[in-house]
Amino acid sequence: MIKNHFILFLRNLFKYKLFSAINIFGLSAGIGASLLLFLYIGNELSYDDFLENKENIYRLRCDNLNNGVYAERMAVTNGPIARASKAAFPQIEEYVQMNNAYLEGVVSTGNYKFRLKNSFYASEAFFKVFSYKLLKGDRNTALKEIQSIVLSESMAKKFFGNEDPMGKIIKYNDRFPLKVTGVFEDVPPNTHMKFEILVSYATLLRNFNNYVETEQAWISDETHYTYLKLKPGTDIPKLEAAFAGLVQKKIGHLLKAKNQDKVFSLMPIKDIHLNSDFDSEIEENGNKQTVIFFAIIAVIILVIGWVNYINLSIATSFNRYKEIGMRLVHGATKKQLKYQFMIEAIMINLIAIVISIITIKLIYPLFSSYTGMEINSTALKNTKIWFVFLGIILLGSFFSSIYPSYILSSLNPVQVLKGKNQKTIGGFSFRKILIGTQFAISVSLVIGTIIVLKQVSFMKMEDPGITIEETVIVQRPDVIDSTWSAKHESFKNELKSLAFVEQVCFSRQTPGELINYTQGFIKDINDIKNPSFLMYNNFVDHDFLKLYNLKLIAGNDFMNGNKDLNVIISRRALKTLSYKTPEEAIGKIILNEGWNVKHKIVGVIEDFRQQSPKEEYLPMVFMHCPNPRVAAKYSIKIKTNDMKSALTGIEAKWKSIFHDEVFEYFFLNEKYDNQYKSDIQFGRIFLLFSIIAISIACVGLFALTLFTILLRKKEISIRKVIGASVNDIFMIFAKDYMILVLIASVIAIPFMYFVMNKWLQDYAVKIPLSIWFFLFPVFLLVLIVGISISSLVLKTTSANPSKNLRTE
Amino acid sequence: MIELKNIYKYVTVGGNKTFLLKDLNLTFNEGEFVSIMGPSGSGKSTLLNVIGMLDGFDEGEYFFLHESVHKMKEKQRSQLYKQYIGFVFQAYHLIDELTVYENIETPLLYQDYSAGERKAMVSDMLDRFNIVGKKDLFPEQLSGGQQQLVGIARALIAKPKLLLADEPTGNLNSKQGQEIMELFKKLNQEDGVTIIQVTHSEKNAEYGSRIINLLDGRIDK
Repeated sequence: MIKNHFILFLRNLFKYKLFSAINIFGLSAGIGASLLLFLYIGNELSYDDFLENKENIYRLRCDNLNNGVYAERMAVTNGPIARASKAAFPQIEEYVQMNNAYLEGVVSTGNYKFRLKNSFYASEAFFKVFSYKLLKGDRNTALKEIQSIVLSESMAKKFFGNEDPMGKIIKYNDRFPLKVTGVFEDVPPNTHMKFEILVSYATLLRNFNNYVETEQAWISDETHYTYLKLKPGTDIPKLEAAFAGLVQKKIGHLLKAKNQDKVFSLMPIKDIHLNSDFDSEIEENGNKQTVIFFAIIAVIILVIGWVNYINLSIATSFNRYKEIGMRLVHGATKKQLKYQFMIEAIMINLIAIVISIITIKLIYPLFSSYTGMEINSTALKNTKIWFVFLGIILLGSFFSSIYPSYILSSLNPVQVLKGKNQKTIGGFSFRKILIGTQFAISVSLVIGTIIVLKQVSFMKMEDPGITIEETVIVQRPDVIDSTWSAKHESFKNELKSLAFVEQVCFSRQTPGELINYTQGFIKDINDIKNPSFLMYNNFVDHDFLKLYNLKLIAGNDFMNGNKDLNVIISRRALKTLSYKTPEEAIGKIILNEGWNVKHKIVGVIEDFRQQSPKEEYLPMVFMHCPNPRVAAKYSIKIKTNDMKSALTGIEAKWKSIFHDEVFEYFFLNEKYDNQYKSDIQFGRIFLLFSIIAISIACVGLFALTLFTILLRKKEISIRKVIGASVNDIFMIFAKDYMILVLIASVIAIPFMYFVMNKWLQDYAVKIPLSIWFFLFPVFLLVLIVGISISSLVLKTTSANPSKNLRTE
Repeated sequence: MIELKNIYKYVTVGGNKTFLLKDLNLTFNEGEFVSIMGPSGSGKSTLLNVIGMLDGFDEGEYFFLHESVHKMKEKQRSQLYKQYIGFVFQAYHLIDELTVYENIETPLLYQDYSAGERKAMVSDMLDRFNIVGKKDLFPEQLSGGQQQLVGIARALIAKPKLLLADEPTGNLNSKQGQEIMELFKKLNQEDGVTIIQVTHSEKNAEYGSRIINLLDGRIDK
């Protein structure tokens, strides 16, 4: 029996090629698009899932409060808390501290030099707590001794080739020797802590003369990632509360004097990737909202595909009335018929799955380079996701087959054989609802796409208050010694002597970066009880304002007096410190709390976008401090038509002064625009999936119209003979669909207005929502519907009517 | 074999009952070859559908092999007719997407025959109707007469006791029609199949042992 159904299914598939093709196209586009999204979601959900004991590993993090208000919310903690809490709370089995803020510069051997990134100081228990695979060395002792370094497999290969790296020496910033005590398997991409090099934490403690364990470090050295392995069944809220007690005991008096507070909280390691968005994250984490949003899109696209399937199956089932009638006459029960049509539905879904997987394999590289959405191989191995996906597909095939098989199996054999009810069977009103749903989804997706893309270009168009064009950023050399100062000056001067260089400056950070140095400032130094305000600091030399075209609204550049104690503040900082006018602030002394240093305000500049217009203006304090320990980047403003030779010129100067130090540069505007990357990607994904959804809906509509027209061929011919124009006939078919478009729009527009307003809330600069963003998609849909109907109507009406009438 | 008592079938249009069958009392014995005649709209096909249990009726009693059909549930009825009744249609109603062999096999799929049995039965039937060479062709590749031959083979495959034919020769030319009628006669006489046919043609009706004339849903006496 199954064989019989199978053969019949295949013959029908080939007999009605156009309808089969449309059906399969709709389903495989839907399945393929949603599979891509599912894999992406699976990838996002798999973060840190491979760790053993993951349910007992928590990250400790810290919030700072000023006067009871949250001032800083960080992914990091200070150094001493780890040891103190382990001593105080028996629930803590082990702690791991990691730090990358103090691990800067290069590590090198004779044959390979690596500028440190993805590298951490890590404490002894690291491999006891985290189940990363150690290929060489001892899990318990690899990070115990001072000056131990543990490398990833591929890093070891770069340094030592095929030699055994164990016991070999790697130099840190040309001076400190580190001994290789272990090699670990390369870390999988689905972890929030991607590391290639670990150096024993004991090394950090020694290098910084145990500063990280002092009382001062309790307050201000918030650079350490702290992970705790807790005893199973630990009461988390209770432990968090206990941390408050510990903080009071240790530094309560310090905090009280400044009216500050520190709040520690715990987060399960598995939750970090999608739920953690604090200052100083190890990497920019994923976004739960995006994951949820993509999940919704995935399901919507699948639904559109199945809706098409249902519509087409019912419409084309007319072709099979005779077969159904015959089967009923020969004793098939309704159950048997339902069973047959369900098998067909599952078959066609299976074909679509196979096609979509092949297509995904083929287009994946293109897709991933366009959208920036990467799916790594671990996601493909995530069996949970595959089960969920296949479950959804099977359920979907099942449900999408129920309605058509119900309709078909409930036919009356006598009427079918007499040829009655051909046009009315199948509940056109139900099909109308389905088509209306597709229209509403399509309009919604187009509205979303337009607003996302418009918002991105709106942000790019906005004046950031700063000039970032034609600027090249060069990283300073890694090794700093006594000759540095002289070399630095001559490098700057040599650059300025080049004809195409307009300006050179040296600063800690450049525009487009998150300012990672913040301190509290107190307005009136005569009254120490005044509240302190958090300011974002950048350390610059006196050419910074000129080079970046920052507008002074009061005072001067760093020209006169004690430059190193003079500061320039931004308008937002002026407001934060509650000075009434820019002029009022000039000459005032503010106290830098962290350093306990008094600064004089010598200038006020207009606000500018340190980061993209996504972010609010920052209260900025510029300090004059070209010290290489603090500052790291040369900004070089270039005016030339030949960028390539300009870069060669700069590199030549670098070589002549810094010799074989690594020369690294980037164009600032590219880096700045990089901040829009995730928005652009989001927009592109939106665009891509809208196009897929709309094409599925369109071919479905096309097929359905074609079918109705075939059924009503005779009617069209008669009307034409009587004297109807092509227009009249077009209206007969278009009217129903246009009403549906209207209803769909009435539902979709307010819904999307609500959703997109919500989405825009996250942006400091928002595009005003124009009515055209909402009306254009409707016009587009009307146009598409109109074109597909008119092309079919034209084809039918241009035929000789007598031919259509004769066949009856 | 079949007993119809006071059968009524009607549709209600605008409050008025229009009778399709009106107070029919008929008996068909096993081994009979009966022709039903009458003008268009006289209820011939409706009667045949009622006998074939494809269509219901509104009043009256229907006994098939002494079982009361009017009291049966649909499932029982379907069980009964798929076991005892074969149908032949004017428009053949072969499934276009199935080959001759598969068309003939179809009724067996809904009864409990193994694949081997089905094969034997279909081969037998192909042999008997001399269409072995056409078994892999599709209906559209056959002439009308050949299609009807397949239709009859399909109707007979499950060895029914009763063959219902609704204008079996209506779409055929007279020569082909004659051949079909000869076949019916042979089936009736040699295999003892009871046949009830609806026909317009006096000549074809003569093949039957009894003729029933219908007019406006009643027997025209």
